[in-house]
Amino acid sequence: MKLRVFSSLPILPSFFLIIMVALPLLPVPGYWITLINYIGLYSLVALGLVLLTGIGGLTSFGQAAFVGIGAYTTAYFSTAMDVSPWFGLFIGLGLTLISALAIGMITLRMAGHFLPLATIAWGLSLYYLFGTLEVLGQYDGLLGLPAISFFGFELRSSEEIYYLIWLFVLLAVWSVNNLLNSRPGRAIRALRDGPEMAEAMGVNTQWKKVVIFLYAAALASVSGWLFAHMQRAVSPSPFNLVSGIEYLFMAVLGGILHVWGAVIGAAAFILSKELIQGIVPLVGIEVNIELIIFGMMIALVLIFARNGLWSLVEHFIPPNRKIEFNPDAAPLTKRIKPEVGSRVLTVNSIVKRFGGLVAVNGLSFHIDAGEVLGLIGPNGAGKSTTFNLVTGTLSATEGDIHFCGESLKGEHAREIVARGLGRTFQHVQLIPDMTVIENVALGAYLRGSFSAQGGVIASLFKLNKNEEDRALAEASRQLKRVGLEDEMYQEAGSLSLGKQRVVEIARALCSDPLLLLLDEPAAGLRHKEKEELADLVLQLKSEGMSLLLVEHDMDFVMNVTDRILVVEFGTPIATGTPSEIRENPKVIEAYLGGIE
Amino acid sequence: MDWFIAGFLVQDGLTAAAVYALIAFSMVLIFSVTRVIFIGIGEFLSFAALSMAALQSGNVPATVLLLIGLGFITFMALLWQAFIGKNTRIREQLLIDAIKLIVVPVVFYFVLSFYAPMRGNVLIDITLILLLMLPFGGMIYRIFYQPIAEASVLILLIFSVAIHFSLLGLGLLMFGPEGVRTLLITDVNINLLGIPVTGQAIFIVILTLVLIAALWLFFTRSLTGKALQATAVNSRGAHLVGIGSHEAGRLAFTLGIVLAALCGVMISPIATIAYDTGFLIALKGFVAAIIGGLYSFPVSALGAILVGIVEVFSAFWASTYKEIIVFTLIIPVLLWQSLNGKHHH
Amino acid sequence: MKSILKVSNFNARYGKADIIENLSLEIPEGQIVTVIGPNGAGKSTLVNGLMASMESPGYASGNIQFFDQDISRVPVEAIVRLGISLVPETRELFGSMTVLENLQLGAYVRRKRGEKNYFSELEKIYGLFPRLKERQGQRSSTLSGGERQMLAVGRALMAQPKLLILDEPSLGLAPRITQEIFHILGRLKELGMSTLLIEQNARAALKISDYGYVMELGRFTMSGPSDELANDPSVIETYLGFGKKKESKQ
Repeated sequence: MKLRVFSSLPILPSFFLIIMVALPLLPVPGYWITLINYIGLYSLVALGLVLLTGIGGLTSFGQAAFVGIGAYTTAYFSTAMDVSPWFGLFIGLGLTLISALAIGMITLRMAGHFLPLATIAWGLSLYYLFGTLEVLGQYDGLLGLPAISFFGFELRSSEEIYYLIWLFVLLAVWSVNNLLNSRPGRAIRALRDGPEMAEAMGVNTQWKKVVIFLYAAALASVSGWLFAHMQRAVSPSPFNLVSGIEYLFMAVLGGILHVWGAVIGAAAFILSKELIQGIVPLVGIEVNIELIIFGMMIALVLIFARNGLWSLVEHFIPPNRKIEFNPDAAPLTKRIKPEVGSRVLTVNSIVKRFGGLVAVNGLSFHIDAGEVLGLIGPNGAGKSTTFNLVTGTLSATEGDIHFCGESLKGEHAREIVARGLGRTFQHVQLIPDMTVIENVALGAYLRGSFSAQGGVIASLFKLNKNEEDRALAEASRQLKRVGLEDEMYQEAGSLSLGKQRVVEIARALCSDPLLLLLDEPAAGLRHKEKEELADLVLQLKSEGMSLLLVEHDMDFVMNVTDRILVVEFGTPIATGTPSEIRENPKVIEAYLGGIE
Repeated sequence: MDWFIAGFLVQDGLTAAAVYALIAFSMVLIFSVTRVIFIGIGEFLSFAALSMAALQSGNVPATVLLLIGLGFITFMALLWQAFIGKNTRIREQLLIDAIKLIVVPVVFYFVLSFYAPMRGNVLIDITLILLLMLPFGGMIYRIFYQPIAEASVLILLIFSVAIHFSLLGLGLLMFGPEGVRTLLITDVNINLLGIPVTGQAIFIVILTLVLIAALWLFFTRSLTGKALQATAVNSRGAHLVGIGSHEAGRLAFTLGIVLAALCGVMISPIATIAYDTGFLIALKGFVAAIIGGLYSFPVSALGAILVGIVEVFSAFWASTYKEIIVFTLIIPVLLWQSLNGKHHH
Repeated sequence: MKSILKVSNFNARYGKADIIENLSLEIPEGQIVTVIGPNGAGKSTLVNGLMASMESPGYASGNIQFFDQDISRVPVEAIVRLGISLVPETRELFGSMTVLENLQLGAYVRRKRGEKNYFSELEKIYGLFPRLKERQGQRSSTLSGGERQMLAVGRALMAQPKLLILDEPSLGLAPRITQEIFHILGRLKELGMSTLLIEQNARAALKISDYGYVMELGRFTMSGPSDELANDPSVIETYLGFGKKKESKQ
């Protein structure tokens, strides 16, 4: 995904900016300006959905309700209480954030379609509430709102509020872009593919979801505030469920994966609606046939251009994935490494049961600093379960695991990575549309300059330069270490499987681990790729890294490990040096299958 | 509130609940087989009621024209796949499809133009309307959902919203904005524990119970019903025993739309139905379906009773807040499901 | 002898990694052919490619002749209808449905083909797996691993297939159960069934099969009559990773 837009479009945006600034000064019909104002207002809401739905994978049909809260709050305070609209903005934002936090806490932990369903209910109820409450003027709404005054200048006409609206749009696009290209932002971009990988990098995915939900709601609320003072009146109908759905349409239409998709989508939505409304009377059909055409149009876009209109634009713009950072930034602080030969990991007769099935049955092993241990066994032997027990993805039914002398009992994957256990995944879990260096920088998530899960606000407003420089410099150092510096700016998904696995190792190294756990790193690799991977493992070992290799590929394990533990049916059947294992008849039996 | 009013409200609530339950079943069925949340189901409820009203006032319902149009589009799409897409399988079926998609709707048009002016009785009306609604499910699935069957639940949901808008516009185009009432199936009234109960209400509740029993038999006794269930439980497994997902999808849509149509003809004698009434009913059925986690038929039925009862009682006590109360009902339900750690993927 | 399935020039790919390159395979009617190889060799990709059930972004291409028909572009449910049943590695049972219902659904294609007595195989399957009869009213999710595998095989047989494909039937099963399942495959062969058996458990698979292919890194590195392969030391080397140096010769 290309997120650094301004650098990739040096001429186009400045040209665009000049047109935008000059437009109200030119003799264009006032109606056009009003339309463009609407595009701006809708863009703000759709932008929130790009962040929430496109990037974060969370769907909300209820954004119109947040727009409504922003609009009604300022309407009520500036008419009934007679306070400044700016005061209304902050009260509105406050109320929006409180309600978004409440609904977010309830629903965001749910998987799949429950969030969208909850937002539908939320959107409907709030709409009826606006129409019912007497203080809000019921279905007639509130009239006579004051204009916003900006440093003493009242923004009364469409042309005047135009600048304020688009200032907010540009600020919003800028801030979302900043956020996405930051330490918390990379974590947010990992959300869509499920929590497992992000959590293993130390990300509190639950909190990250709440964060983007709040920001999307805040953008909607600002849109509502601007809308109320542009119209100088509010009534419930713009905040109904249909509008909530329309916002989502816009984002999908424009391209829900991209910040500019929101603006393009809002523009396409408003202009096509205008066009249809212009054509319909000419054909002579009185009823609103536009609804039919509109529905069909969306259906066609979804069938033929599922990634939205922005994907067509992207088609013509050469991607520039280069990321600017200061390579000489101060290095990140490192952990104190244990002495070679001291005990790093102790696994003491662990048992894992799934219902009646015993996946791991009394397994014990240990790893000393600077040692490479191979854990092998045929398919279904319990290797992956063991791996997940050590990394905190699963918790053991019995037994205990100690890391550098401390028990990992009950610790979450997040806490375990913080202690210095880096890991890779059996099925590569990179963010395919993010560059290699950004993927690797995600590994340094817990080594930021702000609090572990914080830094969001600083990132929004680009106050995180130091943190970014240090993280990206570290990522580029780790990429050099594993020999992938040439692929730094490629999309991770475009690499071969072999290289993707190496990127995962670099990402794990970025967390400054004391022990590196590799889950079937050789699976699916070609011969040459395996040899390169083996060389890398030996190189890391020579640099003093301790490693646990879970593998089924004997060939690979034989050449890189100091010791091997063979398991079958969750129990250890042999342990020893590679050459001892090779001669062990029990191992041959386990791998080839026994006969009677 | 006295016993008399309470009884009255319960009667109303249960009648509404019967309709919500059937709509919820349609949604659960369609969702579990195709992952589509088909909110356009409500428009078919309206179409059925409005078509019946048209028929009873001696006109040919415009729905049959929609059927002819959709049939034509579906057939064109098949021709495209058969010849441009070089799909030999479709080519072999083309003649049968031409009859199903072009001839049958046209014949139906003539049947209705013959029947409308003379009119038989209400039961014949209902039968004709249900027959009229029967082919829509297959066509809608084929034209719209089959091409994007692999898309995410979100895209399918947005897509459904788009379809819903189009159907809503078509409803307005075909029937205008006026609400209608159709003829009662029975005008008998009985007295139950001192409360007068209308025959129509009893009819609705009994028919719903019969339908629930029939659906239960269909899913547990017939191989076709089990095949649908199998697709919902494990779609890859279903493929491996030879059940095509499109085949199952078409069947689920057909069943869902017929159930909705049945709701339409059942309630139109006692509730005014306009082109957009179906949507609101569908949303409440949807609340019931959500209570059932979008997978459980029995829990959805209980959810429907809850929605129906809450609706009438809140209408009685706080009529202006009726809709708010009904839709806010979802939040505690979702909260409860969330705290129970129920995750459905 | 006539071939029931003939695969040539077969390529399959999953994601960026080429997994299977230019593979050929033949199954003579009435025989058991096995494809053995260590995990990660591409055996499951082969099965999914053959059965047109490759998950995107993977794809498969090549020539797949089933009797005289090219089935390379036929969707999986239609392949089943033509007479190939797959018992997948993951079983893919209908967990919330009973054992009997699972078996009945296996016969879905027979009704689809217009056959009258479509549940006719049920008693025969209960004869092969008496345990399934005992548990016929039980939900399939409550079965043990071995019983699940039996049910998956039984469900596939309900379709009266002409070719049975089994993907890693021994996976996760205790050796005794594996023996039992393999014993049944032998009995099915006596009844005239053609079988393609994909296995990691090389010894057991070679013992009951007629012909075997050894797969490694997406290619067949050896093939031959099963009894010859069973005694060939280089098969063991393939598994235990001593064959690395020799590989270029093959």
